Amino acid sequence: MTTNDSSRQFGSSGVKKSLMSIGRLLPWILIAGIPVLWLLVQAVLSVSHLPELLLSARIWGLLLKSILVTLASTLIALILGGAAFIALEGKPWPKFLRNPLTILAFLGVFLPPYYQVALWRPWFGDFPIKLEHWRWPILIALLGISYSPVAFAFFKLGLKTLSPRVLESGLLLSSNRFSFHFRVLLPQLFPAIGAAGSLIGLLVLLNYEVGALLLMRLYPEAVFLEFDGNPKLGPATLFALPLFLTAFAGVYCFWKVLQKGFFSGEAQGGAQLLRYQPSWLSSGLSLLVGSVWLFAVVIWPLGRLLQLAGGTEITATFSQVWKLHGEEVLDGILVSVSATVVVIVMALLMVNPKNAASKVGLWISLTLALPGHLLGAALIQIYNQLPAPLDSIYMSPAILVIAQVARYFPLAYLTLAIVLGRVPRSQWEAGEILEPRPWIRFFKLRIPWATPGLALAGGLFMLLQSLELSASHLVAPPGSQPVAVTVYSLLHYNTVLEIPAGLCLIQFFITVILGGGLLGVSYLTWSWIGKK
Amino acid sequence: MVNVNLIQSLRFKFSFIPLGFAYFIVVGLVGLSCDTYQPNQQVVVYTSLDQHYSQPILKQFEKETGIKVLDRYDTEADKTTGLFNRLIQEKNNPRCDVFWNSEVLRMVLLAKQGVLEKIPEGVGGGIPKAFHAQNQQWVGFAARYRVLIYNTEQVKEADAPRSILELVSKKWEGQAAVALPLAGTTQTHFGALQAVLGKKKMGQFIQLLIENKVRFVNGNAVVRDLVAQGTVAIGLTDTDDANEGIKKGSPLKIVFPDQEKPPKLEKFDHGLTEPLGSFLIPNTVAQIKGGKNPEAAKKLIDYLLSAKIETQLAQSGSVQIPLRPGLDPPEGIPHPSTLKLLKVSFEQAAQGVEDLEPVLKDRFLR
Repeated sequence: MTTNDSSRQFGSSGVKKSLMSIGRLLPWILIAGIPVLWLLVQAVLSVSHLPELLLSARIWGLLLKSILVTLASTLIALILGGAAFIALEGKPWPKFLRNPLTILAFLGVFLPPYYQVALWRPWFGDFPIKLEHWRWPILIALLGISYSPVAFAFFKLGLKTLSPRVLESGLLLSSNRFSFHFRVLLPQLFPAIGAAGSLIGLLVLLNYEVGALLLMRLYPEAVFLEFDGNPKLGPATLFALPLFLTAFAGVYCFWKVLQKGFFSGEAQGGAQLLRYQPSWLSSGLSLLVGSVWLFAVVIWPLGRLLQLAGGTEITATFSQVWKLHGEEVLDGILVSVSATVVVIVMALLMVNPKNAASKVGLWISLTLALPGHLLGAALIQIYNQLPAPLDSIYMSPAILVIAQVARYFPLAYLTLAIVLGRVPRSQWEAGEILEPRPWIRFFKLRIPWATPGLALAGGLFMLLQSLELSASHLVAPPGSQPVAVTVYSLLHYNTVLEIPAGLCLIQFFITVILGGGLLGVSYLTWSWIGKK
Repeated sequence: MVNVNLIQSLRFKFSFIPLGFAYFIVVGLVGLSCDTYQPNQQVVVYTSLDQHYSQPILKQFEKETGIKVLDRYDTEADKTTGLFNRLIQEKNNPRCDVFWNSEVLRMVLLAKQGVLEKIPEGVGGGIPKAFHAQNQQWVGFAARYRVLIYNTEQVKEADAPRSILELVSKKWEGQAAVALPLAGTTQTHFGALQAVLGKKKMGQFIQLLIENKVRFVNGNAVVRDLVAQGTVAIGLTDTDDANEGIKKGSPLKIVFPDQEKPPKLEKFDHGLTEPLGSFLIPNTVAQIKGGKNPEAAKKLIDYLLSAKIETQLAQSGSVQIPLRPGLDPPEGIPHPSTLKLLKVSFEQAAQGVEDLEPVLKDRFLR
């Protein structure tokens, strides 16, 4: 019997195939699919409100405002991240400094936008409220600066996928370095730029906290107020529909770019090729841009947080933070670790390595486009109606795990799918021939090949989940308020900044240790799928 | 030749691993949550009083009684309504034992919806009857005044507004700030005004506020900041927020409004002849009907309504005014017995908010 015959025979059983797909997706359906379905049902039941909502100038005004902020912030993040990438990849940096500088640059990823609000708050008190017209540029700049390390990371990752031969030819044919960067390198990095742009755009578009803290109403906050004013999910879901569709367009772009640029091809060693002999001008520029960026994105924010936390005496602040919020910090670690374990196992079981770029990834990514408050509200309604003993999930940190997994699992899934998708199909087939027992294959092949992807997925997920605010804020059970919510609340109350700054630092170090550890594992095990 | 059929069938079986994992998720999550209920060894409290004021008191209760407090706070942006909505959602399967509300309106609405248990007579003894619900489903304590504040660098004491009705005066056009009346104490205040002025006059008042370019912002703390920074000259806020600004050294002064005859205004014929009076909004506490820890809930309620906590809240940064006669008010703030107060019951104010809600949403939800 040939392979084709067997596939046909196997494929003839449509029911089996469907069951297989459903079985594979079941964890996601349980955690995220049900809330999405719930929202959909509620929206359909309230569909009579739709014409009225769609004709509302308020909705379109909010959408336009949010889109403009998103475009501007994303552009700033890409320009800054790209400039930093070119500057830090250049030759002028001494060899022994290169890795520490790259690690330092990556630390910027762990400093979310609302930390920036904490940093600037003492000055904001006087500045933006007085000069209100400056608040929009400030909001855009803060978001752009905060997300530029994400762009930097994508540029670095993108470089690994480039062919050294193409870059070498580009270097030879380009008249100067600038022409090489703009005419060869950047076009080659288009998938990375596209992926970074769509992901940053998505995060900015659905960002609730920065707008709320700076008292500028964007669409996500309006969705929250809509639900808050009338706790019926249907109208709030319909209200959020234009935002959701716009965000989903971002998700679609992200997925499409990943498919084109990341799901295939071998890992290369392109990074080396950027280290050409530079001119004095480009050396100077690289040193200047790289230093300024590192200072603005990492060194200054951390220094300023330390300064704010140490208002009277830093040890006193930390002891006070621990006394008041120690349990929250410990609960946060428990939730982070549990959620990351759930996500890692789910991704490992759900990704189909032989068809990693399938459309399943796109459908799973649906929840990435959902405003967090809507997801949180749906979870509250659903878990309030569960029979005992399941209903106790609602009152335990498990509900936070569910909310965070529902929101950010897609990123982990896509990350692992990319990594597994880059393992040549022939290797999987060889594995099947040599080891017919799926369990053994699972442990001997899939897990080792998936390790860098799992660690990367886990690290990225942990980073996003520890900062997740809008869904966690609604679902947080009594006694287990996430640190992000506490920091946000304290910033909103505009209290003395020592405590929120101290909490920011603690959260930063925990996320760096846990999430950064996973990212480190990913980097160290990268050779499984190609050269470092 | 590889037995492809075998591989395919094994792969099919392998696809049931996620099924097993789904089971693991459900069991694991239930397991993770199964230690949450320890009747009467703990108490679940939802509170909308600012976390940095309420948390130390709850920790203190925990330390003194050994009863574990599972606390849940609101954020500044969704004052009270977030927890209110949550309590309504949970009505059929209550999870909360005690609701400590930083204001009174939502408590009245919760009582109406049958979410609250009757508090035993005698609890909160010493607090005047006006601050007990008619059916004893909630009791008020430690209150705040709604006050006008002005920037002393921009406004002379003699020129400062004396009535909240002056917010629609031409004199303060574009110079005043008020929190959005969609939640919190401002909403309650607007409800009380509706009860006093009537629907038509209140509608007119709101329209004039908008026409007078009053700035509606997110929360009373923002009102204070705007006045403190001189962006606007006057604002309507709460005593606790105003006091925080004064403590920080901002050029602010408080006016306890409407102690004199109502002013005559060019555009607004309010029809009032007597002073409107200042509005006092107490914290309120209630036991949730069907809560899992009724004994612990009673202990916490008793604790919160004690003279000790009223005094403590008066001395804290939130400068809440004790309602018990004989307890000293915070420095610079008069005792309620020495001021003319807005003559409206909290039930009437709640009704006012309900009646006003469509107008407020129409005007302010943007």
